[in-house]
Amino acid sequence: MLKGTVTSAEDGVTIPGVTVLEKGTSNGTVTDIDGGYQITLGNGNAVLVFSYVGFAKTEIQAGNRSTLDVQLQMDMEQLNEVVVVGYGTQKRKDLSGSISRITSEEFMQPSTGSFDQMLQGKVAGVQINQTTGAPGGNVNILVRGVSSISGGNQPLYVIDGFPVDGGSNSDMSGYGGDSFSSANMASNTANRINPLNSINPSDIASIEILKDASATAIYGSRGSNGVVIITTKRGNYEKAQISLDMSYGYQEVANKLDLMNSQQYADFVADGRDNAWIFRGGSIDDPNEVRNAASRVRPEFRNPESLTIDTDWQDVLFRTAPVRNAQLSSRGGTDKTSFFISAGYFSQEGVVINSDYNRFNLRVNVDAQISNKIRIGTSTYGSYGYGRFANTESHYGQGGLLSNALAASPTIPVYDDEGNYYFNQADVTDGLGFFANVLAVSEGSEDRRNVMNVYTNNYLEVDINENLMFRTSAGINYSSSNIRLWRSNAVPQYTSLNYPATAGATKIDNINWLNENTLTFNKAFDNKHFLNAVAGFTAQKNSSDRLSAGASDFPTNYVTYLSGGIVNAGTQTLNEWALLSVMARVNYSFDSKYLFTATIRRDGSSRFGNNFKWGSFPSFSVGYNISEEEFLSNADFLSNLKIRASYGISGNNQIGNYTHIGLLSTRRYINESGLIPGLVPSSLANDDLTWEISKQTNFGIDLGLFQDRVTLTADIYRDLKTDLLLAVQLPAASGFFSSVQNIGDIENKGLELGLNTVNIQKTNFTWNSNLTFTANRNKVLKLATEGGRISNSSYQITQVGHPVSSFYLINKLGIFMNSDEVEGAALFHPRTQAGDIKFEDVNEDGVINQNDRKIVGNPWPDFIWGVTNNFELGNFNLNISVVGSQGAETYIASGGALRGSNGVQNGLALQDRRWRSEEDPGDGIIPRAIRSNHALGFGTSSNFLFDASFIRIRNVMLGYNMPKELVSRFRLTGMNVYTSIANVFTFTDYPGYDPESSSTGDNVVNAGIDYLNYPLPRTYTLGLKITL
Amino acid sequence: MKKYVLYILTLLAGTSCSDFLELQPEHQISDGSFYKNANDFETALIGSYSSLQNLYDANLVYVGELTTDNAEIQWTTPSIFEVELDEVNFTSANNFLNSIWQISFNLVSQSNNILSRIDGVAMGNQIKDQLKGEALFLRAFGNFNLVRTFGPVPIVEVAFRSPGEIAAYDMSRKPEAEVYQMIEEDLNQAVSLLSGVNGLGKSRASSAAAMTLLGKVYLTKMEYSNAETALKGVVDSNEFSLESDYKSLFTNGNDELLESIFEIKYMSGNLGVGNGFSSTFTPARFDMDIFPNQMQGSGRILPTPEMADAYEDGDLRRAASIGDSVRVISGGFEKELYGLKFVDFTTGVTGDGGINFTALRYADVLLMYAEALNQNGNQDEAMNYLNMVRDRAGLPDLSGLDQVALADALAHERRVELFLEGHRWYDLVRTGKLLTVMNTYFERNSLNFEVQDYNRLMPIPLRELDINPSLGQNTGY
Repeated sequence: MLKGTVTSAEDGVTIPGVTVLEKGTSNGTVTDIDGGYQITLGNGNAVLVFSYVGFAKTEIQAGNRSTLDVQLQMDMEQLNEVVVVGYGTQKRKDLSGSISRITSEEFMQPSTGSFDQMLQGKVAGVQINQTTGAPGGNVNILVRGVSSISGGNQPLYVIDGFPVDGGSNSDMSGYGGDSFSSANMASNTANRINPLNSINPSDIASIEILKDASATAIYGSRGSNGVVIITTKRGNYEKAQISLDMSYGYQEVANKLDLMNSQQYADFVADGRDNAWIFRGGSIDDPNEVRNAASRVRPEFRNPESLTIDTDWQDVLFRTAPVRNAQLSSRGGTDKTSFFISAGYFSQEGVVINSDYNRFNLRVNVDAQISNKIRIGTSTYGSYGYGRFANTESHYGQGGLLSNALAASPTIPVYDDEGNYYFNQADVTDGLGFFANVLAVSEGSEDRRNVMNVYTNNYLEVDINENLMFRTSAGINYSSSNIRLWRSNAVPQYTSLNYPATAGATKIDNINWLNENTLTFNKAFDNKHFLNAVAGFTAQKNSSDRLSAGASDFPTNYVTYLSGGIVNAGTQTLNEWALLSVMARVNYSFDSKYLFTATIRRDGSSRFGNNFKWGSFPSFSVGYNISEEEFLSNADFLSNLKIRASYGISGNNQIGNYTHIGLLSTRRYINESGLIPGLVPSSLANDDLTWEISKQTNFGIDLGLFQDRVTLTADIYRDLKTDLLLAVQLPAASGFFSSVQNIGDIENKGLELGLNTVNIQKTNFTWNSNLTFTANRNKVLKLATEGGRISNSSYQITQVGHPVSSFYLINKLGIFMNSDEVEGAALFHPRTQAGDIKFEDVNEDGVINQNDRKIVGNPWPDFIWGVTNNFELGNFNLNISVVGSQGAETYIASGGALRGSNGVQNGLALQDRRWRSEEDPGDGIIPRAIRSNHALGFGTSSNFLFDASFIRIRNVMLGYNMPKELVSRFRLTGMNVYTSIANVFTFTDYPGYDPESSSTGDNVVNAGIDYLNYPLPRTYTLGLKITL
Repeated sequence: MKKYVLYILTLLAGTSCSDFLELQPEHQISDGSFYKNANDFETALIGSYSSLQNLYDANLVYVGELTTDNAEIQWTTPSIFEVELDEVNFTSANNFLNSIWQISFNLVSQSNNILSRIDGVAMGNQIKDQLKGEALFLRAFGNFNLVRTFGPVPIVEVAFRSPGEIAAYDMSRKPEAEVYQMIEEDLNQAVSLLSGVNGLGKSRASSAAAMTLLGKVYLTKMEYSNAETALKGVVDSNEFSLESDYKSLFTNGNDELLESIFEIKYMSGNLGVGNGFSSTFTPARFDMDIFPNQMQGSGRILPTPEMADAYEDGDLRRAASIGDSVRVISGGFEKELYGLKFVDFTTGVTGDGGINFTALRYADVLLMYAEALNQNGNQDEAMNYLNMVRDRAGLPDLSGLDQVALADALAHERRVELFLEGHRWYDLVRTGKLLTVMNTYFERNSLNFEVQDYNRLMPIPLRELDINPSLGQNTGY
């Protein structure tokens, strides 16, 4: 029998809850409230292991004693922290590259389906944007600015050693194309389920984000956009622990828009039509009979006060919705084998009707020591996600739900007298195309998707001698996803009220296999020189098979699958890529003071043209731990000071699998017997096609003060991206619109700061803060032609000297407040009048037209930041995180739906501040209502460009650790109750639902266009965590 | 030791696995594996013909009709580019002009693709001549649209196989005379290569189609003797005759009619090969009951009131071209002027109309022939052909007209015969009547617009100038 007390070496305070384990057995106990313990040992040679969070694990030989008091040292986390680097690990203090690490304690917030949302604001240098509020929806991770114009911008994700291409194909801006014919239904393959969503956040132990070239170059042609390494929890060689985490929350739309009510709407419509009639030469007193159809005003709109119905269509479309999460996991092992097993279920209903997302997940991580020198292990994971998705984006003429709810007149009811959906075209838009009741559209459209992911990565490690280890691994990642689309004939399309029903189905099967082989060498010479080296060879291949079909001619709406109609469209595509690589890295440190790292990787890829199949990617970095020097050993306040510098070359291979091959595509035509196929060249061959290059220089400083009570990491970098793939626009006379060539240069330079402070640390109360700040400047240096320009979208261009995708619009200066201002001004249309928009005559030619477009903003923030404050008072814990973004702009492509001045659709209540007359000029921003486009410069002006800066209280969480007595009465080791609110409030001037939304999803280069994405929910959660 | 390991690994990687990295797309055709036999070339030609669908639906009709006194827009929020056409105030950003430029050059480039490769492939001489003839016809078709719309344009005669070749080619705009020379050479060659070819159907090129187009080209250049010769070939061939029922040319089932020389085929059935004329030519109301599914029109190209009155009394063509009222859902009829040609009343899906478009037909040939004869001093024969067309329309013969009066009569006849078929603008421009006709039209209708002399040519699309500023813009824009 051995007993004793465990105290903290720092201040002598006793520590309850410390695990005391007899090493190599499952014989253990836990210190009581006074830090005391008692344990009966199995044998006299027992070694006792003392472990507790925040303290260094301590092992002591029990010997013959009967009393053993132990003092535990505070874990100098920052310095002894082990960081996962590519193909290995390194101690933070030996690191000379720029890597950010987040552990699960730091980012765990409940009830969000995907881990990437939780990282927002916590990692310097990384911009994380939740582009849509849809359950299962896309989140963008952008490391150190936008890097590529035509290639992908997604970082490489390495999940338990398995590299996975980022990118989710979630660009919704083209959804539906021009019609929902069966052929288009079959080709609607944009993704609504974020692939990162398949990873259960509770399984994650840590996330490392590799930012500079010395860290990413080891990933060669895939490292230029940064690398996100995700490590899941593994077992420990201790007594097994079981934890259960359950939470229940409910969500509501975080920011509902303030639209016009019936009175305001009637006034607005009357105003718009009167002005249109006056423009045609009539007078405001003319009765409806003499007016043209577009200028007539319904009699009841002349008397707004008489309108009794005031429908809030947003309330019809939105609802409060629950979200549930239950995760069960177990972790433990014997002295030879350890395991981590988890299983869980996540279910989220959406705040827009008829939408939801659910996921089942199961994981088994096992590590086993077969013999003294051989270890094996596996990380195996399966998940199944499925849900129903709502088509919120796009115009109501194509079934866009939000556009419908925002445009619908508040003067009509939701149901008619018989309880059917109210529909009377004349009420709704007076001749603008069909516009069914939003509930009918929601019910008539189905978008059901599911994704199954099975993934396993298995390794074998052999210790060849005490310095050399060989490791080989083999893994497979298999995913199968299904999309089922349906539109009944109750969903109109532009001018067809009963556009016939069509259905589409798509199935995508993807297999990716990986084999990696590495030799690792570790040796210390004279205890002063430490050498670590890795060399390896890997092969990876991906095959993707996509099958899609579309059907039309449905006799009824009962069967919403292909079988209910006639399948008459569809295709199958096969896509493959292959990668072979050799890599090596050497780390050398002298006396823990001077650090050197060099890496090189050589990649051969099937994506590259025949003249450039293989590429080399080297890097080197140096670091100097100044705080280890003699002359600083007396500086007690300085716990850490390191400066580091790195330079390296990495690449981006997200360039399409077959871009270097000249291809033909089908075009159908007709002859007397029916359809006949034709083929036309669709792309020009290019044997010189190769990866995009990133040459990055990084300087960093790591500072720790007062025993690491204050730690600061600062990095400044310059990343030159060259040989960017650009679709070089070709003159139409060549027969091709563009060809992809390596020709562009972009530069990203910036500053990142990460600051951690332990503000107050007393026995009963601690307060620490974490701040991140990132400022990145993006500039295009070279394009295909001198002074060249690329149109990214109808509103954006990429031009030398400016950031990628800058907004290129006719600049709105304000409103003509009175007719004097109109006199002599440059006009868009000869009959512009007071109350219309005033544009800037950029080329000073006296006329406003397309030649007056200029760059008026860009979608990239000037800086982003995050502040997290963590308070602990006794057993209570309060965590508040705030994030902010400053300087980004967004173009609301649905501008007509929110602030259209036509006097036809409903819009923001801000319309009340429009110009009505010279005596009543409004706020000078919103033009007069008139049912004609001449005054608005329809399409490409900055009238619908808005500042998307915001400050958002991202999460507030309050938790309570049940006291030990209560907990042990239930025979548990821990119990924690928590409540939290996510997306508490957003401070912003942006008039849309969410300043972060982007309809182009992971197509980051076209960011900044809002076409009414799914609104962000605010979630209130209550949860319980139990450990046994 | 480490060094050797590294060497070995690199060797292993570099030598054995290069096949691993050679992946060809299995689901797509690459240009290295195509163009191997006659069937391949025919498939390529069909791909080329299919672009004509997009040209006529409705870019060429917009530019040919909406810009003139024939048609106007009748819906409340037209796009800025539609307004530009209606008011004859073209800007280089106009998307219809951009489409015409792109599709026409696509035709040229695909023909170049075929012509540059076909000689190297073994196949029967007959089929080779036919395929070449078709390619030449399409190339001339594309070039003709370009030169008569934009004036001087780049000339491209080769196929490109890499971005470098394109950069090295001379893409400057060549004088109209040079473009016309190429067109005439191509068409003359097509006429001879395609003579004796039949059975392909009227959606494919034919000797007669080439002769018709050649006639149109000469008329545009005001070379009336050449025009007369070319068109005489079509008339004398006796392959074509006027349909007795004018309406049948423009309604369902108008395939392979005797009057049709070159037609663009469309088909319903939600297969993506239909046309949108039903909604383009009919009014933008929400209560029309003229189509299944209560499909509504979009009021883009509607007859002007003057057009509706332009027909002589008793002209049978009016009833087939213009509608005066629509039935509405609530029962009863509302007055509306709208187009009837190519409007498919059997389908209720927008963009799915199945009626073919008559790009070149015999009545056009007769009127052009008459015009050429008239200009060459042969009034009697000219009136003969004019009266054939009038006869079919149920109108009395004209006689005793002198050259000027007959020219006017022919111009008027073209207007009412070919309404909505995309000819009016080009006819006005080539006969020098654009300014007088349009400006008096605007004045009569109190419209504050004016056509300038420079409007005879349309502006080069902005996209092309952005890519190659040295192209230069047409005067006035």
